[in-house]
Parts: sequence; C-alpha cells; structure tokens
Amino acid sequence: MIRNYLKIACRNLVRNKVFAFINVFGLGLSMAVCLLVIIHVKDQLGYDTFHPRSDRMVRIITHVTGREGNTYTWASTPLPLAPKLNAEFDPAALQVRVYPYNNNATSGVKDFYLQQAFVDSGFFQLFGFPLQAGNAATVLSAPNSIVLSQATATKFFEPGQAMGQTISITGLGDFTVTGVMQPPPGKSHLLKDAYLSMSSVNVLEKTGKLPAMLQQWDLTKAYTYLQLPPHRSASQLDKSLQSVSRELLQQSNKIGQESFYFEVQPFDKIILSEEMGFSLGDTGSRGKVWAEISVAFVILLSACFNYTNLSIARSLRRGKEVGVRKVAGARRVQIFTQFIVESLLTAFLALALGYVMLHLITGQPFSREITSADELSLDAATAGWFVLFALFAGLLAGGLPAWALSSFKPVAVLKNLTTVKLFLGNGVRKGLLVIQFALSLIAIIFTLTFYRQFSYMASADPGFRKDHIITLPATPESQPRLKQALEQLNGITGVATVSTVPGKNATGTTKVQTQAGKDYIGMDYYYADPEIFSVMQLNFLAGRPFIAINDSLMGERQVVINERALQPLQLGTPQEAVGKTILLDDSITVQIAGVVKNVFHRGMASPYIPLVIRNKPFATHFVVASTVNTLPPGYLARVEAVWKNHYPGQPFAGSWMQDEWDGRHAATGTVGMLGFLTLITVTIASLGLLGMVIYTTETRRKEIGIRKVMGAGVGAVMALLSRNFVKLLLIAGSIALPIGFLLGHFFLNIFANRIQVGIDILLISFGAMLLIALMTIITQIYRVATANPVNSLRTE
Amino acid sequence: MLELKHISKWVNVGGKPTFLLKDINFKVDAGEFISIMGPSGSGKSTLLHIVGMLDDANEGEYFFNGEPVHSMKEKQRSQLYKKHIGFVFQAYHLIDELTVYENIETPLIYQDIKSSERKAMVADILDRFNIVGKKDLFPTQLSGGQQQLVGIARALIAKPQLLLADEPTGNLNSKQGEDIMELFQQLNKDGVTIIQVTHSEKNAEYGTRIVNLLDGRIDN
Repeated sequence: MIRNYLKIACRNLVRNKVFAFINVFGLGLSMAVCLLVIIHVKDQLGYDTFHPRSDRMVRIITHVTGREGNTYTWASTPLPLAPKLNAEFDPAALQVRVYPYNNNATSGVKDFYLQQAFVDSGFFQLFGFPLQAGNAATVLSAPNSIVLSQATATKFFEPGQAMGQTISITGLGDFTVTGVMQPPPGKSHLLKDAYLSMSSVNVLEKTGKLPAMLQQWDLTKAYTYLQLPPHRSASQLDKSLQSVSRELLQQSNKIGQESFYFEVQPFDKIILSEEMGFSLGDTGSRGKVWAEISVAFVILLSACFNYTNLSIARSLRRGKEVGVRKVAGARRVQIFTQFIVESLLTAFLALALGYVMLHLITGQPFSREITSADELSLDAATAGWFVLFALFAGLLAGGLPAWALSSFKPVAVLKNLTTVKLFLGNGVRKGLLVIQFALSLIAIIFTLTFYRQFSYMASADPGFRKDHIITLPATPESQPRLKQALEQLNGITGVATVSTVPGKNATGTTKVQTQAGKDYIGMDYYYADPEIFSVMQLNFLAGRPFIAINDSLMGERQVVINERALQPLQLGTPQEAVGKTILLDDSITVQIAGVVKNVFHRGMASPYIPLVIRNKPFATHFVVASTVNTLPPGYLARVEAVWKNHYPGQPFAGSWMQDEWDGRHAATGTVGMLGFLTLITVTIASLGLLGMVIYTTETRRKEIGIRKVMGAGVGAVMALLSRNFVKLLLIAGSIALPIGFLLGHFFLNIFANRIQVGIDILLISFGAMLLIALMTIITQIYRVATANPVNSLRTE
Repeated sequence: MLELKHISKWVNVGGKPTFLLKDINFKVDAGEFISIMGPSGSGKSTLLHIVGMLDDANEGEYFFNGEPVHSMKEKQRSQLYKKHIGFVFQAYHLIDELTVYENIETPLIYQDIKSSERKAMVADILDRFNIVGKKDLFPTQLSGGQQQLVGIARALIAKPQLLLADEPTGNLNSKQGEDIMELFQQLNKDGVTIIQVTHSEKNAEYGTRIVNLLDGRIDN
C-alpha cells in the first residue's frame, strides 16, 4: 500500500514540475533556517549535562531592587555568603564559590592571556570535570595551587610535564600546577583555562594584590554553587537565604534605598534561563532562543501556506482522482494517507535541499550570529531531530488539504467538478497570500529601519575623536617604554593610556557623593593619564587635565568629570565645580580638576551618562595613539613592529578605533542575517503568488479565450487578470505598513540616538514589495494574455 | 438480486422540492442486462447512483441481496459496494498518473488483496481484454475505446456481481460503441448482472430488458 502511495506521490511531483519546484524550494529555504535554529538550540541545551547529581545542585542568585525601583536579577553573589551559609544552613552542604580573575600568565618562557577563576577546593568533587592528573579531593586545597585545562597545559609545557611546574600570574605571583583537566565530556558555562585555589585569596588580599572582597558583601563579584545534603530541600535553603538577606539589610544602611535578596536557582535551570546581570559563562539566552524559534516557525508556516494553498487550488483537478478511488472502494483514511504521503515526500525533498542550503549559508558572515560552522557535524540525534522536524513540516503543510480532499463525495466530483464546494474557498486562499505578503512587508520595513539606524550610529559623531586613532593592549609595567617608543614614531601626534577603550563600555561604575552621608549617584569611570584629553580631543568647559601621579604609594588626587555629572551632584556651573572635592566609593576624596563636554562614551546606543575620569598608576591596560591625517597605507604594521619589541611572540591585537567603531555600530552580522531572513520571507511569498497566478491563469484560459474572441485586447486582459492580485497586495500593505511602522518605532526606542521610521522607509518598502510581486505576476499573465484563443477554446 | 421500493429523491430549488425520482419500484434479478433509457434530466443517472450506493434516496427502501441498504451506515455500504458492484463511466475516469496496469489494480489494493494475487488477477483480465501490450501505457496515450476497455476491466477486476454503466459508449464512435456493447453481452452471458444507462435505442437492444424513465418516474 505504502509503495503505491509513494509511487503516485513521485509521479505527481514529476508531472507538476512547477508546483513541485515552488513547494520544495520554498519549504527548503525555510527549512534551512529551521535547521540552523535546531542546531543552535540543541547546542545550547547540551551545556552542563555531564555533572553528577545535578538534580541536587543549585546556584544562588541575587534579586536587586535599585533606588529608582527597577528590579534586576544577578547571577552573582557575595564571597562571604558561602561561609555564612555554613553556619546558617548546613555545614554538610558542599559549597563552591567561583571568583573569576582574568589576566596574563607565564611559565617563564611562554606568556598567555588566561581566563581563570578562584574556586573552592570542592570544585572537582561538585562538578563533573574529569582530571587527567591530580586528586579531585585535594587538588585545590593548598594556597597557590592551579589546575590547568588540557589545552592550556599543552600550550605551556611538553605533554605530561605540567604537574609541579610553576605558573606566574600577572599581578598575583607564583602558582604551582597541582592538576590537569581532561577535555570535559560536554560544554559548560563553568569552563575556564585555569582554576586557582580559593585559599590563595586571603593572602593575596592582605598583600594588596587583590581588592579586599572576602569579607565584602559586594553582590557582583563571585558565584555560589551548592549541593544539597541528603534530607535537605531547596526550600529549606531558600528559608536560610531569606534570613541571611534580612539580617544583611538590617545591618546595612541601604534600607529604603536599595534592597536585595538571595534565591535558589536549580542547577538544571541555569542554561537558557532568563537574562541575568553579571552572568557567568555562556548560558545562552532564553529570550533569544525563543525569538529564533518564533522567527523560524513563522518562516516555516509561510512556506507551508504555499503548499496548502497550491494543493487546495489544485484540488479540483485531484478531485476526479479522489472520486474514482472512492468508487473503487477506497476509504477516507486511505485517501487521506495518500495525500499525507505526498506532502511528506515533498517535506523530505525540502529537507534534503534545506540541508544543502544550510551548508551554503553557514559559510556566510551573517549566520555566525546564530551558529558557527564547527557545530554542523551531523550526529545521530541531530539527524533524528531533522527527520522529526520534516515529519512535522509535512503534516503541517499537507494536513489541511489532505483532510479537505479526502472529504469529497464521489458522485459530486465525478458528475461536475466545478460545482464541488471546496472545504477552503477562495477567501482562505487569498487570506493566506495576504498574510504572507504582510509578513514580507513587515520584514522589509524592519530590516530597512534596522539598517538605517545602525548606519546612522556608525557615522554619527560621539563627541570624541575616533578617526586616526590606534589602540593597543599593553600591560601597565611596559606602558611608559611603549609610550616613549611610539612618540618617536613618525606620524604619531600623541600617546595616552586608558583602562578601557571608550566607545562601548566604561571600566566600571563607582559610587560618587559630594560628602560622606550625602546622597550618592553611580558614575561610569575610566582610569587614564592626562594625555587622554588631547589625544581623544575631549574639550574642557572649565578647568584643565589632572596632574598625573606616578608613585603607586600615593592615592588618587584629582579627577575630571563630564558635564552630565554636574546636575545630579549639584555642583553648579562647570566653573563653580572646578576645585570642589567629591568622595568616591565612600573612601577616596578627590578634587575636580576640570569639566569636559559630554560624549557618547558607551557608544551611540546609550545616552549621555555621568562620567568620572580618574588617574591611578598601573590601572590602565591600553595605549591610545593619535596620528596625522595623511598616513601611508600599512602604517599599522609599523606600530605593530614597535609593539612586538615589547611583547615578542605575542599576537598583535592593535587596531584602528574607527574600524572597531564601524564594526560594532554597523552590526553587519545582524543586518546580514535580517536581510537573509527578509529575502527568504519575500521569496516564499513570491513563490506562493507565482503558484496562485499560474493556477488562476490556467483555470481562466477558456474565459480569456472567449473574451479575446469578443474583442478584448492584451492590455485589457492583463488588467483583468492582475486586478485581483493587486487588490490583495494593497490589503497586505494596509495591514503591514502600520504594524511595521509601530514595530520599527518601538525598536528604535531602545536607542538613545535614533532615526525616525520615516514615510520614505514605508514607501520604499511597499514599492519594493509591489515591484517584486508585479514582476512575478506579469510574466505569467502576459503569456496567457497573448496566447491564441483558438488553442484554449478547442475541445477534445 | 436487488429491489427498490417507493424510492424518491428530491432537491430543494427555491424552497420547493423538485423531484428527481418519484416513487420508483424496481426489481433486478441476477443475470439480467437492463438498459435504462429516457431523455435528459429524467433521472437515469440519479437512479444508477442510488443503485450503486454512491447516493442516498430521500425516501423509500433499497434491498441488496436481501440486506437493507437504506438503513446502513456509510462504512457498511462502502464495504458492500466495494465487494459486489463495479462502475463504468461515460468519461472513463481513469487516473492519469497511473498506468493501465495500475489503474486496473486500484480496486484490488483497496480490498487488501495480496500483491501476488493481484498480479495474477490483473494479468488474467489484461489477457482476456487483449490489452496486455498496453499495460505500461498511461491513459492519455490510449484512444477513447481503449480507455473505456480499461475502465471496464477495472470495474470487473474484483469480480463484482453487478456492473453499473453510465452511458459507457457516450464518448465513443459507433464502431467502438458496438465493440463495447458486444463485450457487455458476452459478460452478461458469463453471469454478470448489468445495468446500463443509455440514450441509444440500438445499444439498449443489447439488453434483456429496457426501463424507460420520464420525469423521475418509470414509464412502462
């Protein structure tokens, strides 16, 4: 039976090549997107699945209510929380804190930047990271122990030679390798290049190499994981956490201004959880995944509409076959199955095509927004998901027409086909077309808005100099010599150092008040030297740059603030502010040396933010050099040569600030991806339209023949045939234009500096859609309108 | 074999019932070859569809081999006609996507007959109708007469007791029509009960009995 179904399904596809092409190509396009999303979601769900007893594991997270009443969820927790819980909850609970610290590490010979974290000694017992060398229970007990990942170990040492060697971490000192990890059995958000023993932190803090955090209830610095002991439940832990946070709130003076509480997050819920502040590692974003799934589903649905639409349109032809089969004794379920087999065959052909397309598009830059090419290997589970997905798509596309076609009564269809009432009339078919085109139009409007906004931001003036500026990473120790060397280079006009290159982020946020006890505000800060103002052309409204301090024993003396900070701190005019003192972090009193004009130091998406530029030796990590405007091509190579003198054997990471700025603000990847998705939506809608036009013109051949014999011209016939379709396009436009406008408007609201969704964007989008659709229609209609009526009126 | 008692069928046109068939009493014995005649719109096809269980009557009783068809459910009815009745149409109604062989095989597939058995049965009938050479052709590659031959072969493949033919020669030239009628006569002699609807006096003569319909009534 099934062979018979397959045979006729194949013959139908071959016989109706155009319709088969429209269906397979459209579904294939949409499937390529869906497969991409399936791979990505599967990859995301594959994180952290290898830990033993993960059902008993939890992470503790923090809920924060800001002074303005905004609430945030942070993945982080204070370092003293774990010892506190030991007393308050249960000493038997296995707790592990993760306290990230990233810096360069050297074996004396080789030097690499490593992602590291201080972790408690139970780390390798709690988590399922297998060790190649070292004992899981004791490997991180002693102070100044370090466990390397296998990849890191082979970077530094000969295979098998790592154990017992010394690694020196910049700013911290020497650590002894006590263990080497095997490559973990799966991906994990906890994976680092190296793990340091938490017991080292105490001494490091006492010697000032690390800020004092062990006793600080700073909510943002570390992460607490915990395995519940037997007979203890997560809700009991939650109770202990509540009493801890209550106690803390009473002790602190933040009551009424800022509030927070700790909460238990089951370990299994970490991956694809809601977006959290200060998140650790790649845990994926539930919102983003859902957005991807919805976009893929909408595109799939649109392609399925084509199949449904064409199948129902062609049902008059297939009706006779249904009638004959029923007279021959077929039951409804058999007819239904036959049509489902046909749609499944189409879906699997589309799957094959989609798989090929998937490989074509993963090479493109835009697809990196979703997935990287190395995840494309097809294992059995993924293949299984693909097959399930194709089954789903086939049923989705073919279910309705199969149901409708199998309901035909043989007498009715065999007697007179045209009197058969279709289950889905013209109205539904037209409705589906309108939806497809409305979706396409919304996609065009949104993509165009997105593109315009980002190219606007890329070209906008942030208020500081970003052209002819070179940025170089540099360790604080070697900065003075590097600066000197660069200053002697021909073409360099100025060199400065800064803690973070402006344009995306500040170095951090600090608490600022005019006097102890007064209201404070959070201000962004950078550390920099006095040259930064001239190099980046930050203009002073009053005052002058601070005077540099070069002795690390001296505290901070002077700062420069921006104009935006004056009002919240009630400092009056820029002139009045100069010379006044402010208090940073409750402890550092500094004098305002100058006030600069506001700039968009966090990029064009953010508004002006209060900013303080501070001066502190050994706190800067970048060298910024301005150059003359006329430079020979390849100038960066000369700078690289100078840089390499100071960092032999390290990869050069210097770049032009303008290039980075453009790359970040033009969002080329996202624009490419949106463009690709829009292209797919429009293509699918056009294919659907093409199918409908072919069908309509075929069925109206006779009518057209009669009209032409009666004297209708080619123009009149074309107008007649296209009128209905143009009407549908206009309806689609009237639905999509307001929706697209609102969508674009709300989207733009997240940017501080934004364009408007102008009438021009709407007109261009609508015009583009009309043009594409008309080109689809005209070719077909012209063919029918110019055909010789003798042919269409001849009867056999 | 079958008996219709007081069968009526009507449709509502503008709120008033228009009778297609009115109080039909009609009995067919096994082995008969009946020709139903009458002008256009007299209800011939409707009568044939009701006999063939493709259509319901609004009123009256229908017994097939003593079983009350009028009170059967759709499923039972289709079981019954699939086993005992074969149809031949004026427009042949072959499935264009299937070859001659597959068209003839179709009813057997729906009766869950095994593949090997199907092969034998189809080969047998192809041989009997002298169309073995055409078995791999598609309907559009055949002449009208040949197509109708395939249609009849398909109707007979499941060995029905009753063959219903709705103007089987309507689309054929007179020579082809004669061949078909002679075939019917031969089939009737072999024991198949036949009811045909026809416009042609000449074709009607091939039958053993003629039933005249006029305005939905039997007019004898």
